[in-house]
Amino acid sequence: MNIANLVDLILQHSPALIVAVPLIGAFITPLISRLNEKVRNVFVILTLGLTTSFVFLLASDVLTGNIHTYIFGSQDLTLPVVRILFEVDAMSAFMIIISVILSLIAVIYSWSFMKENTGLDKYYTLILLMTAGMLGMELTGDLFNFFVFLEITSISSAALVAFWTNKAKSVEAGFKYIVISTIGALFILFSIALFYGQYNALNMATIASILQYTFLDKIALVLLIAALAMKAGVVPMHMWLPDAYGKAPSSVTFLLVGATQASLYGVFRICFTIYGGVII
Amino acid sequence: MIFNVPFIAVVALILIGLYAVIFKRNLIKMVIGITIIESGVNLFLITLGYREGSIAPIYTSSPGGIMALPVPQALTLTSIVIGVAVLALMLSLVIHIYRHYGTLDVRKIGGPEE
Amino acid sequence: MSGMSKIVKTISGIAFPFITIYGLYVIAHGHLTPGGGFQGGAIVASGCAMVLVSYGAKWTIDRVKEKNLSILESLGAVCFVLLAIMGLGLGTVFFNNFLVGTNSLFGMVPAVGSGLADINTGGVIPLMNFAVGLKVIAGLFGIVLVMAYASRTKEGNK
Repeated sequence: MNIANLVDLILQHSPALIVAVPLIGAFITPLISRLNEKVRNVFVILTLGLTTSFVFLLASDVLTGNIHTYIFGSQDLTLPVVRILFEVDAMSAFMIIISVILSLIAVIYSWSFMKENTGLDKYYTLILLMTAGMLGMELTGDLFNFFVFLEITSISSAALVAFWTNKAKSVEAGFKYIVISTIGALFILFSIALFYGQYNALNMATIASILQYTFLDKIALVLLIAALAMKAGVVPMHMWLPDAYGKAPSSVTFLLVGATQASLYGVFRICFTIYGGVII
Repeated sequence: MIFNVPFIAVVALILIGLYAVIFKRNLIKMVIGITIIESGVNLFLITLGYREGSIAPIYTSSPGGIMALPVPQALTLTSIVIGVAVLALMLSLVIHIYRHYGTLDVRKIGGPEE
Repeated sequence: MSGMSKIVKTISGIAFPFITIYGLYVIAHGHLTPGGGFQGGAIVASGCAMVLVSYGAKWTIDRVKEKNLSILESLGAVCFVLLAIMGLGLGTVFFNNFLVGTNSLFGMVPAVGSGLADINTGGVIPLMNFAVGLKVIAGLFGIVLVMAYASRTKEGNK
């Protein structure tokens, strides 16, 4: 099998590989860190380098006009089963380039910045999990899958903000972040249940095509925009943002910017894809 | 009217949980309030799958008849797992805060920089 | 946190194997009856937490090292993602069910309709149930163990 066939195969399966490679790297990292510290750092940088190459391969194909969809579980579309789809268009490609470059720079910077701390295997595991969560959130085309990846990202980032547990201010900033973030996530789940109860579908494209603008849809729109803005630090709900950006370790602040902008990407998806034919 | 009682229970649980998070001063009571909100949202997810006169959606030696929808039950299970993880992280942070400040009152922690 | 009285220790020592076997039954029959990876793992972790409370934190921490739990947890998660990637290698897409329909381990396809079902069905789902169950047991027991260790150290200092 020559190089062109291999590149074609990777391009066809790349939406799943972009999320799977940091995920399996995050689970292997505690096993590797028993051996040596430098081996673990090199392994994490190599994993993120591999993910970066997959991201650039996918983005170079999507930004020239094709839209990729990827179906999990089977390629037989005639079976009446609920399937999860990943759907990559130009805005997703833009966001995944930003997220993976931020993550690679954060890991390279924290090789020497976090050198004297203990418990570094948990630190690298959490960074890889947070990267997998951000990339999954920006690639998916299914509403409940978006909620699951959003929760993975916010739990990992709250644990990373409170990483320096010997300083009282960092732990307090992490606690404030996770309380406000969890209340927002529970209201997002309430809105997703409102969509499922009316239309019996969880896919974003399906809901966009059969949406009638009833009163319950208006309630769901208000709750979704308010809760996703709460996670992004928009003005009436911004009280956790200065503490979390200031008291976290500096290499975590890069990734926290990526996570808050990914929640803004969620607002754009809700307003322009699902409600696109109705409120524009 | 009898079929609307679960929805009234959902709204009551969410309002009680919001009251506990906003108006209580102890950190543990805020954590309990978040757990109550999560129970309300899970109850809402399961109630959406009920059809009138249906049985549980299990094929092994079932007595026949229409079955309730199984998809919301899978969504609720995922939500319960996420709730357990968030609860574990919040309680660990509360243990660290208590070790630093010696009190759990939200008006006494924090303050100017050391 | 010291242990409880002699009666409590005896009864919890007798009840612990029954709770573990019930939890493993719930994990293994996840594709036929209600249950599966997370539910059965939570049952076994509750049994382990019962032993921790009744025998005392110091006794349990001396016998169970926390790094062994971390290795078990990572093994469970790696097995789960490897089963998903094997769907990519042997079949067509990620998370493909490559064992159903074949004559190997869990490959039978039952007839449509209700009736007594075979445990030999389901494809790759029971294997994923075992991996998730192992991860949940190690993870939840690790959380309870670390919290008991943290509150014991605080009482010892003050």
